Amino acid sequence: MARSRIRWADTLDEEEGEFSLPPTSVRGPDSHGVKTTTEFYRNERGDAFKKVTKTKVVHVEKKVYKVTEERRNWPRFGMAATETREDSVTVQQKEEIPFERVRQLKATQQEKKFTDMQAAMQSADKSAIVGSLKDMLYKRRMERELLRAKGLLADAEKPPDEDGGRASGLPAAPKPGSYVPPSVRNRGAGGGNEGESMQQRRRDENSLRVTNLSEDVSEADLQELFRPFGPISRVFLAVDRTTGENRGFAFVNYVYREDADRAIRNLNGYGYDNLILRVEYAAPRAER
Amino acid sequence: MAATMEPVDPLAVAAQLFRDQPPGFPFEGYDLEELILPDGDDMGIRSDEGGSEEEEVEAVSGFGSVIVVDNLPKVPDEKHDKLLSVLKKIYGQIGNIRDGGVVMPKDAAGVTQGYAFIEFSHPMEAQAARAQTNGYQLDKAHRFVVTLFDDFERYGRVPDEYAPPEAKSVVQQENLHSWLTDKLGRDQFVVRFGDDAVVCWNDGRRGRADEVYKRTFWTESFVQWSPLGNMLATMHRQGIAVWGGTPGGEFVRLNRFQHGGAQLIDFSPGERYVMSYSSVEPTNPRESMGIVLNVFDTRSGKLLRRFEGPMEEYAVGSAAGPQGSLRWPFFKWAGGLDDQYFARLGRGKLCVHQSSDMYMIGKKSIELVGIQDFEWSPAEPLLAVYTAESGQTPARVTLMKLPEKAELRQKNMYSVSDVKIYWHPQGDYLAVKVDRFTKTKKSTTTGFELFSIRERDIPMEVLELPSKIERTLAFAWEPKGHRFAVVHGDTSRPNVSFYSMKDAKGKLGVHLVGTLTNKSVNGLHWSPAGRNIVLSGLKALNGQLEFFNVDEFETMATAEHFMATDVEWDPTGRYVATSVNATHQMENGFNIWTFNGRLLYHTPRDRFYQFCWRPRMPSLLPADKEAEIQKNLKSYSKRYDEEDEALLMQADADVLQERARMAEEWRAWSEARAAYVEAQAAFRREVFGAAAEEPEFTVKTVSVEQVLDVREEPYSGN
Amino acid sequence: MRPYLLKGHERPLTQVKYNREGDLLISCAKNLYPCLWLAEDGRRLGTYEGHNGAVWTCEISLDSQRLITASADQTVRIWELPTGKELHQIKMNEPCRASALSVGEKLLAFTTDSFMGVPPQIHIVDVDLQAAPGSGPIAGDKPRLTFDAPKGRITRVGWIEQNRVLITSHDGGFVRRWDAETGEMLQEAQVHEDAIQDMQFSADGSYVVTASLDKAAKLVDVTTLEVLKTYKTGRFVQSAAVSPILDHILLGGGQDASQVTTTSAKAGGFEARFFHKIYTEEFGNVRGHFGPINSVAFSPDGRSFVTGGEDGYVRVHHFDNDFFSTKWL
Repeated sequence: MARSRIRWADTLDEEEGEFSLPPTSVRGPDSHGVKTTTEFYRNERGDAFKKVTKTKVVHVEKKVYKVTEERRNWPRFGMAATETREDSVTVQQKEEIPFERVRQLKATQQEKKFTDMQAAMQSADKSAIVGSLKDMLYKRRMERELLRAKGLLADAEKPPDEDGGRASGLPAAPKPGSYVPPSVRNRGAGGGNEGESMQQRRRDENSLRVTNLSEDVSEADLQELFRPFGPISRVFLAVDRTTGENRGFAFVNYVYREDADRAIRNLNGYGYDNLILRVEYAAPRAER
Repeated sequence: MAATMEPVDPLAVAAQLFRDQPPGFPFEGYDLEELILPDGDDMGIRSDEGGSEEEEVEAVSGFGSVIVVDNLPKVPDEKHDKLLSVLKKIYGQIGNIRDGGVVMPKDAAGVTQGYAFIEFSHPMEAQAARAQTNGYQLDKAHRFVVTLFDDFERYGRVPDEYAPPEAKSVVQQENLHSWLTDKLGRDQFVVRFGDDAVVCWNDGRRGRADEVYKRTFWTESFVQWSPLGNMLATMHRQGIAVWGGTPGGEFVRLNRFQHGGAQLIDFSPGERYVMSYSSVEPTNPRESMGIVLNVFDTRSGKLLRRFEGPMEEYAVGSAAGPQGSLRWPFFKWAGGLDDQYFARLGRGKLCVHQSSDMYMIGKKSIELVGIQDFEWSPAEPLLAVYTAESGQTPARVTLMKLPEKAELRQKNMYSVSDVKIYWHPQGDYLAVKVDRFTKTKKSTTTGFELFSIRERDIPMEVLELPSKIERTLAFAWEPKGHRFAVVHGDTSRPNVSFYSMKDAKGKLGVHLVGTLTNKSVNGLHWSPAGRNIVLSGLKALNGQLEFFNVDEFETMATAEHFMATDVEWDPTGRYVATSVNATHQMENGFNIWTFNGRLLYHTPRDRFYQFCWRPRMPSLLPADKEAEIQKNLKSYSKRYDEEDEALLMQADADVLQERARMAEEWRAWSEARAAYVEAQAAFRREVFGAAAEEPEFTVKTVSVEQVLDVREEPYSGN
Repeated sequence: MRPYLLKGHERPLTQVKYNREGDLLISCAKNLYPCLWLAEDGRRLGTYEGHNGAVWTCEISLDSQRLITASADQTVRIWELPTGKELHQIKMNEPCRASALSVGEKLLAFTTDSFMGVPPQIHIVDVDLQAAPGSGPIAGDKPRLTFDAPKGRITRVGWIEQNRVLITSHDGGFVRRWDAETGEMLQEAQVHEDAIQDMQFSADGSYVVTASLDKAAKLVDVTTLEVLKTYKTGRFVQSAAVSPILDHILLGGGQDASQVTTTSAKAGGFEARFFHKIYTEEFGNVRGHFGPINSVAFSPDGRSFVTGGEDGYVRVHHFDNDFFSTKWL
């Protein structure tokens, strides 16, 4: 499972101000033999989670060989003869080790996407061509939009005509009269009052927390997305150790504060891979 | 309709028409379109669908309007007239007896034979008469036995010898709901272009449409889905046909509803009934346009009621279109899925019918002087009625509960110039837009009366737009939510304001959430799931689209579908379809977007006429559970995500084909090696002897705790 | 699953094997003592003390009464399995690597590594496993047949075609067939581009799965040496097994180069990987080892599997019931 299991010891380490979690409760088995276990725990960030597990006692028929019974009673020999429980030569893993499904899908779709346009053209699969074309053009267009937003492009380029009409996926710079989010409104000196230590350039202070990432996003994607705003000192993508997927959030540290400001302005609320990114200054980290 | 003078034996007609074909009207497998009947003439051919009771569709001729009243007293000549008048009195109350419509046969001596024929003007009346008077105790000795003449005749045809009925072979019903269990969770839509109508899957994940069923000349004009998505209706000269989708993808015809020249169709919300409408040209210049509206039972195809008459009787108040025409639908069904009531405007009255017998509730209309408009709540039989000022009575909006006809709420209004009623899609709120004359009567101001239906005593609030003299161009409630959007101001660059009926803590009280100024917007399209909205600038504004998230109050994307004429969300709120129809010469076709404005695919189609998403039946989950799932979508049962991915893979046709090939290849190889395998096994047995046998074992039943389901969700302490 | 962790060896595991009934497990490692375990709950029953070098492979007799081990200490030893008593030693002059009992268990084939100018060799020796200890020779002192193999360590050996043919796997990626009577090489095929580390039979004996350092595993027809299937991974494959009941292949090996920088090692991130035998797609994996997996095996009933790792641990896994009802691919 992705989230860490509840260890009852965790509840003793609660931070002040957080509410205490109810104890684990077990219901059943009911008329269908289903037992329901409800557990509460906190993850590393301190977020509380509730986990409800339904189990059922199932009767499985197993072949038991007569000889097995005999062998179980063989006297111990060698080093086993003097072993006791405390030697813990044999230990059953406390944690549940799941059989992780592997998403072969990504590989297949990757293949289908044809990073090489030539291969795509030669493929008889029209949807692959269109799909890969679209992806590539979309990506390029996003890049251009970003660069334009950053002011690096002299003219506003026209994106390639893929659907017979102009279609921009990026929220445009605020036009006169259109809705202006509060964070952008007061573009005073230094990007507004966004924290006391804005003059400092220490790395931690320029740390942005990016949330609501889709599972497919990699560190490389984040680099690509954030780099246009300025040099980055560090990108950290939270990865779930057991599945290898990202956990939906990341930290990006800019060298320069102003770049971080600009990244927030342009990317907060940015539609990325069907989700809306949240980009904001990270709260001061708790001691690890 | 033209009338044939005597009942026609349909089989004889069929035999003539289809000389070379096996007897029995070939209803199966023929194309409606191929059978060309003169307008209005059905050649006496009865509808094949329907229950065991044959129902004459023709009102004027045939014996469908005749009943036989048996067990009458046998009276001599002198008592004749008395008996006659008794019968006329009894039956005259039930329906209109035709002139000379009571016939009591007498014997040679002039004594009545004990039964009478009574002919009404309409078969419905005959049926009602039978229902109401069968068993009527006239006096101690005489209890009426009333039968329909047609039944009589039919009973007479029953053979004396009992022949056991042939066992009908079970006709396997296709699973017409198979589309709802699509493993990939796709939605369907129908498009009409050129001569074709095509039903497709929208595959959002792969960014393409997959054709389900295509048919050329499927309809003669338009197609329409039933409200729950179970059927697709097509229009034909002879009437309407409804089709259902089979698991294999084909659409099969489920039923036909006869209505020559049918122009429009309306389903009841629960799909139990179908209404077909046609306008009838007057036969002479002094007569006005007439209408014919048939109400059918959807399942059986049986005609339940017909409304006929001059159009002006129906074109009242808001149902009246320009130049005396009629707006459709003018019969409106009550909300909810029970299909119990439908109503229409009349002059100074509201006619509310109950579908159980098709008559008005209590057999009379509801007097409402000055009634101009009414709308049912989409969720229940609750009416919002607007009556204009008349005499001393001010204009008012009334909330009326049916069938009790109880007035729950009333609001008087003064100096009213116009009123429009907007119900919240789940019936939680009602907004009444009131345009009032200013003191000078030279202009109007606009305000909204907002009713909170779910609260006790239905509290009402008045909202006035900040600039009262602004015109309201559009108004829309948020489905499954508490907000509404208003487009107001200058026609070319109006403002869009969002209001909420409840504040963040859930306390009732309308307040402004935010305003977007100076937008080139003239249309509001909320997602059916709420939260997101597409602001469109169609027609003159050339297809501007803004995908806006109201929760975060920010634009997710702006886009353009040049010359788009329509915007439609899919039933789940995941995708938006925009289309350009044939009112434009060029650029016909449709686009599919994600809910946040990313273009998935674009399909150009010349002579494009319609794009309709297939509706879905409402979710079986209660509203609060749905809201919970929405909120915690990501953290919900992670397992399903993975299974979805696997399913997606499985469904990929190319992959499946390759796998089948590999499996077959392996099987063939295995078979080729079978001899070798057997040789080794035999050798082993031979060499090891008894030791090769499986050792002795017992079967033990072990109890194992198996994990069925694991759900994780964020916990907030409650 | 809640696997059993068996910490019987402080050094990397070399092979893990089930007996015929699947209730016993033998593990061999680079430390000197093979271990006997109960497969059900991982309880250690005993250790076999005697070898002076790493034990590379083992072979269990059909009746689970005899254990045969081949070691880098240049001996092949036969043990009384239930008691740990050493019954016989076949002394060679080269490190011994792989061994296999013929059908009927009258012959033992074993391989030696090249050493001091002697090439890699395959030996066949008579054995009489039923002989009661002390009553007669359990095995001949000298092999009845020895023949040379081409350069390259012989990593595995097996009896096929009714004991008429031997099949071997080699460094360099070769698989070879030999006449068991004459020692003549019948056929060879370079199945892999790099060393084959393990070769295990299918339940019906018609094909083997080979695990190679060329980052792939393959299915090979034993009678023709034709490659039937290929399972590609991004990492060294040290061992592979065929499920006796499902169309699954289990692979164990190293770690993907790209993941080397993460802390997988500490977190027990080395995976046993499951592939669909026919569609050759990876559909799942199980983590837990702190180092590469050197040996994998399915239990004879296919309901469990065991892995032995570089980290010195043996992990016994019993599949959850829903594993068998899930549609993986």
